[in-house]
Amino acid sequence: MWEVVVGLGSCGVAAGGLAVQQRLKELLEPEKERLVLKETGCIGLCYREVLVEVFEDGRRRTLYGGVTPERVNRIVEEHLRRGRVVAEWVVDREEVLAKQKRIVLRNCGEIDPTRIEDYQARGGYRALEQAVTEMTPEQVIETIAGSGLRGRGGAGFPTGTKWRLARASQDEHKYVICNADEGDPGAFMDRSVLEGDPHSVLEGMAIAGYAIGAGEGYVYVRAEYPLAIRRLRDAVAVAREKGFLGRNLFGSGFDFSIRLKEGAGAFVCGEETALIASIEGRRGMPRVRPPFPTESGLWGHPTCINNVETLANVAWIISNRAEAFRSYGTENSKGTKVFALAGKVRRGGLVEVPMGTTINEIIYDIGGGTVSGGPFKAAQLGGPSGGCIPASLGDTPVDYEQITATGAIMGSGGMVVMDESTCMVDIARFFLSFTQNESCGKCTFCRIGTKRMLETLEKVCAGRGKPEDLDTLAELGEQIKASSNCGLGQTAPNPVLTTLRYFHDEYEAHIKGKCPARVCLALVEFGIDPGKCNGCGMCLKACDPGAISGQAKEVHRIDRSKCVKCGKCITVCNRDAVLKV
Amino acid sequence: MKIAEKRSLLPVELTINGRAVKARPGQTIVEVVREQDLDRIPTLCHDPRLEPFGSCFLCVVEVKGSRGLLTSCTTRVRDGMEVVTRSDRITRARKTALKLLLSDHYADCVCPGQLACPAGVDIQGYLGLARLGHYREALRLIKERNPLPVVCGRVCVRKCEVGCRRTLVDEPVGINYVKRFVSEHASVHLERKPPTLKRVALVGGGPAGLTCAYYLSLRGHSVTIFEAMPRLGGMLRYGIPEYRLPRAELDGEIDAILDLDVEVICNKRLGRDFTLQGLRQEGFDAIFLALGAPLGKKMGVPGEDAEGIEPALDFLRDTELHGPRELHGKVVVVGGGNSATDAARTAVRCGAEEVSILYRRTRKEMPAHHEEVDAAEHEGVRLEMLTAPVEVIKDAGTGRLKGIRCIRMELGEPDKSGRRRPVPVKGSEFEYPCSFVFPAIGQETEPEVFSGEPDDGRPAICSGGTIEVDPATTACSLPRVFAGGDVVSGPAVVIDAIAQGRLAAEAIDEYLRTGEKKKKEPAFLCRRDDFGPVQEHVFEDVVRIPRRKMPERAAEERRKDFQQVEEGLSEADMKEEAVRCMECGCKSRFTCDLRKYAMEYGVDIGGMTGQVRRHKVDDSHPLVTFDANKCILCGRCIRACGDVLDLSVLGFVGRGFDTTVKPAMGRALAESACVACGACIESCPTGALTAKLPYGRQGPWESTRVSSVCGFCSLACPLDLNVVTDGLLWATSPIDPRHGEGDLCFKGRFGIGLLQSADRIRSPLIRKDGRLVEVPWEEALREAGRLLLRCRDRHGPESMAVLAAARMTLEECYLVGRFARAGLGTDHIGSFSQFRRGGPRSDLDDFLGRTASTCFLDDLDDADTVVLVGADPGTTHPVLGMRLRRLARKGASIVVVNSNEIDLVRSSRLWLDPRRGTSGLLLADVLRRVMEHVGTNKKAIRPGGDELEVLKKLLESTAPGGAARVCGVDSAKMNGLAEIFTGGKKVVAIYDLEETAENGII
Repeated sequence: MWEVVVGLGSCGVAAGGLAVQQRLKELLEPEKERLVLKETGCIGLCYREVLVEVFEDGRRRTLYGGVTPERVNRIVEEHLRRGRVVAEWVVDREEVLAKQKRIVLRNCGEIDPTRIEDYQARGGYRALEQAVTEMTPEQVIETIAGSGLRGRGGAGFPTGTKWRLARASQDEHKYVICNADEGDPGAFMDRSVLEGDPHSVLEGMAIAGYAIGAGEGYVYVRAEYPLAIRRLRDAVAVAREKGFLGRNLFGSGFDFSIRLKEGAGAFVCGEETALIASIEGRRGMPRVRPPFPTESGLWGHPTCINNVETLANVAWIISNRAEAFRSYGTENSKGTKVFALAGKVRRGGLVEVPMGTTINEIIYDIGGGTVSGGPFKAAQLGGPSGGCIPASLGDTPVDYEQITATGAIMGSGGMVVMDESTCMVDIARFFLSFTQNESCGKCTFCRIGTKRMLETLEKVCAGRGKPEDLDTLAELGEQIKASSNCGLGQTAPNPVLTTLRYFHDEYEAHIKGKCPARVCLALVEFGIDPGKCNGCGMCLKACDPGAISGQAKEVHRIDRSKCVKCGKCITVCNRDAVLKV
Repeated sequence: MKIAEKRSLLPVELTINGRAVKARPGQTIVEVVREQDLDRIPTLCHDPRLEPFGSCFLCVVEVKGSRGLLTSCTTRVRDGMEVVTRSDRITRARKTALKLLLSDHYADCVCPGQLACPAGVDIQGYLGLARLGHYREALRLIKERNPLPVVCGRVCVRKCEVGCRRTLVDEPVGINYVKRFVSEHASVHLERKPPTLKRVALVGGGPAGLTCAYYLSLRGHSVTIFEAMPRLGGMLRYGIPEYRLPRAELDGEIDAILDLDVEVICNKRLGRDFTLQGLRQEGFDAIFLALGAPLGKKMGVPGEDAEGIEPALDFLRDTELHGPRELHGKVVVVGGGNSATDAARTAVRCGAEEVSILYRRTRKEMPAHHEEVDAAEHEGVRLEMLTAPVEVIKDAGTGRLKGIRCIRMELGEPDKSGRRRPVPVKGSEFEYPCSFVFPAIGQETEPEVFSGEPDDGRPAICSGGTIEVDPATTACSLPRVFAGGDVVSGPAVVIDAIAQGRLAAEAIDEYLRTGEKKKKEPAFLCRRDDFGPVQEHVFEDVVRIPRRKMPERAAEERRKDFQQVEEGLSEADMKEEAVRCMECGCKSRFTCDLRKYAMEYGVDIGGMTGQVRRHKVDDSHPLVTFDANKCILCGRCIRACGDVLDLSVLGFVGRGFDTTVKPAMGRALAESACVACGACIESCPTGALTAKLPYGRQGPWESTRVSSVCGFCSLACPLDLNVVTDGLLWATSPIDPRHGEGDLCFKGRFGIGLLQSADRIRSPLIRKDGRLVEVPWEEALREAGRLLLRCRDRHGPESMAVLAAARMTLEECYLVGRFARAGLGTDHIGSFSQFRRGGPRSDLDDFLGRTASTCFLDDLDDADTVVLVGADPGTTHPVLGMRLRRLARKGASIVVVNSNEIDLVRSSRLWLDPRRGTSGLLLADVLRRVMEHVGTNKKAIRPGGDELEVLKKLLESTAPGGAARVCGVDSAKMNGLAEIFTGGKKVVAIYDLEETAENGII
């Protein structure tokens, strides 16, 4: 019996996976005895979606990329019926996977997330059974502490220590919360795990609950992740049915139940105290710590909050022992880290690498370098809270301390690759406008300070900047970092400060009236290269304000006084004759 | 838990600014610093009565080992902590925080009119006081900045009215009309400070000199004015005609200044009769030069020396000195300022055949006040606009003036002043025959008066002939010598001279006291105009009220004499005018913490400008105004509201820069669940939330705090009365930093209006001839005593009874007792409340041995269970209700037994709602359950022994098991109450006497 598996994570769905699935269903219907159609979550090679994988009775597996309903016909005809692989569409997964080590993503793309049997078949829920039947809570905590696992939400707090603190709090009621409020632009690690392997997170939560003495867990997941929510909801229901959640798990007397709470889309609710406020039905707004949630959290009870990726590691560590986990990584950063590789990179997608892998390795060896083929210019790590690491620091290994030393942060795993066509001032402006909009408004520096920084950046991008504006940005940025209550404000200036540090010349160029990447429209003009223009008239037709003139088959011209820099001419020109100068 | 308790016995030891300090565990840094007076830490979001929040970041400090700065209001002390509360980094952060807050604080500290007034008179304040009829207070406020309100009330050019924001609605408020009214209808005599024995010579008795004399004299210095002319007043007397400023009024105002023991020496002219050097040698400690600009400018045209040409200034001065002369023929006045109109209108009154004003620009550009120009025109003065003289035509024989040759002008490009420059029209010359020409084209100073001084004894003179001074202190180049008025500024208006006179007085006072010429830091001011022009549409809803017209004598009549032209507004009109003031200045101007810290840290928004949030002011609520433009999002109101009420009327709305504080669902305050306790107003550090005063005018005015006690219910909450003057006061809660102290309900905070009701009887009345007549207290008391004694003597003491009102205080009740027993000799003493309840009650006496509560209010604070039987403190004693809600939040169980869903049900753990009239039965049944529950543990039940058996029997007789059915209450709920009751360690029951009596509970 062969299996045909369609990648139906959000990435697959977005690329048209459902249509592919539908087409396959129609074609395979007559042969469903021999050809079983299945689905899986994100395989990690998002740049080649839609992905379809063919398993020939466990012997050979073939991964097809860029599958469309039309291409399905040929795959079915040649491969599934005649056993001849359609070589031109095959994706070499090793090219991408060779340097990876998949712990968190161990099941993603391998199992059908809607089938708990698939999860169990790969050892699922055995770690939970082992923990509650063979280990004391203290032993569980020691195992996690011994593994060196640190919080993957960004701050890198040792997970074992957090559990120990929560365990030490004397209270009948305790809670485990899974923080699935993944809000960084360009980050989709948590979503992929929830979509592709929801049980691993539930199992991690149950183990955490056993360790700290909590009987209840919440998954706080953003409402913008409808598929993840559906997978989670189904997974909780089936796990309860199977007795992996609920009362008296594995006859140990340990009870654990899980509820879902959908977040309404406020970025700051990823901050733990704001998240708790949100679950309690209050405005998502961070509060002063201490007391930390491990002491007084949800409804005033001790609460252990871990991020999705952290929890997805837990069952693996219990099953494979702490030493196995410790064998990956650097001195202070153990295990692996998942990154959502995006931006101007050839092979964007989800990657999981051992800690200590360098940024260069991720971008070039796994990501295949930049789209343009040139060197990358910077990698943005940690989303709007992070910073831009320049190519000159490309040998920086993925390690909490070493990343922090560059001015960026490890963050939750967003990695946006930039090349020469990216304007660093514009990027800084983009991330700051995101954090400014998402500030909860409580702290003076975060609420008004970031606004004033943003206004200054907008001024610089619009060519109205003055040299002293750069000093203001740096000074204000440092003050905002020092004087904010929560992580959002404390890190909001990072994109600006790191770009100021590594790309100062680009800022200076803007002040002198030039945008080297030709992104900031106020600083560029549109023109037509007479050597390339063949007078086809496409741009002329596309130009709404009528700024382009020229006779057919003669070189066209752009009247800059009329040009509104909308860029339509660039889009329509087939000969790359329209230039930004 | 045990560890924590153990630790709490030991003090925390830390260092603050290098000093070893002991603190209580759990205290925050700011609490320790404030309690032990170690430093002054600024904060806007911290309220000692509320849980720490930490949002403004003003209170930041450095703690050794911490990466960033920490908010001292949220950081709790730890052993070994090293705290620094002052450093450059901290100051920089605090300044930035203030700058950021101010950059989004769309507010006016004071009204634009006051900003426009050179003397900075508190216009909004005195308009409000005038509207309310407090003329003395209004005048006192004016005189704080301007000692010549009578003069200014008539002749001021009213820069304030130009600045007045009402111009965006209809017409500016007639500020000056109100000032004139107030100055005529009240008098204020301020006390001088004790003599300092310092002597100051003032040279020049014009407005600058007089003003300086007034304020210096008030500060206790000895002042001598040297005046060149026969009388004081300067330009006020010799430049402004009597029909505008009656001399009796002027003299009265000057006399009021001289009454402060000011010495005057007239007819002494600097440079002729005495020298500056002489004054300095005479031992004056300081000298103020206010010499004015007494010389009229020349036109600079050929033939100007002709007879018949005379500077307008000389003409006016001559009229004052020698009385009006007779003028014949045509008179031409050249110029467009107030001197020109003054000269023209004086010429009319001197009998000139025709008077014309020649001006090179148009009427719109005339610097004279437009009302003066109108008045001149009404009196028959011809306005010859866009015309300039080019030559004087002399009679060849006599050399006397025969006429004037003029040229027409047209307006060209704007010049530096923004006015369009007049350009001659070629070939448009014409001749105008006339007998007199009075040029009024400007004035000049007379620096020649210093020619007799030694070289090093002359003050530095600017190129324009004015004395050079430091504008911040008015000090000129010579030691001990100051200067102000026209001699410094060049020809200006009265109010400018007054402003300089006052500035000089302050600087001289500072100099005399400290020997230093210190600059006074200007008060910090937020201005909406700093964020761009204020848009007219903001005032769409303002009711249009036409400006009052100043009543004038008819032109035909007044042009014949020098009697006053403007007659002044009537009281009713003045009040109507004063109420047109839109009160643009901030109501919290005197109490705003943001402003206080902005001044303390010397910051303004400079450099931080950007987008600003603009909101509509929420004026919907009858007692509270919410101006979100001034909100700094410190969240104190939200927390105070949540603390006092479980309602949380206010909350944060939106995200990022656009975050605002709003009532739930973004509704108007009036549509929210607000109960008007005013806790939010009290906690607001700026002017975002303010109380509406019951007077129709909001001030703001500075007030004196007087401690008092609220008299609305038996809780007797302490409160402060903020008194501006008799009949103008409001209540605030006393400054008490303890959590939960200082609560006031809406009655205490806003009920003050009753006390000030106009209908309230303020003096005793006696009925005479069937009519109540006001009499003095003495007479009333004597009469009352006489009647009482007569009654006692006639019918015996036992015929008399004394009733105490239900709301009397204990002290008053004691006095009632003494009065009855010792005074009248009767034991018949009663209270009204007993009438209402059908006679005296002694239930508690029977039960407890005394009729009084068995616990104190403060016992509530550590109660773990409170049972409310029939009582609704949330309504009857709202502050008690607030206390109970806080208690509930701390974890105490509140149980409500009430057939109504009272407000406190929301905070209760259990609510039992028996049918009306059955709560007695319900309680009896609960008691039975309690006794069953406690069982044989008889010690737990008092009274013991037989009484217990009687009680048991009695309870058995009540419908056993049926009580729940009769009362209509779920039996489980009754068990619940019994459980809570027996489980509680400290149970307090609050019951309502009337309610329980009706239900036969006791």
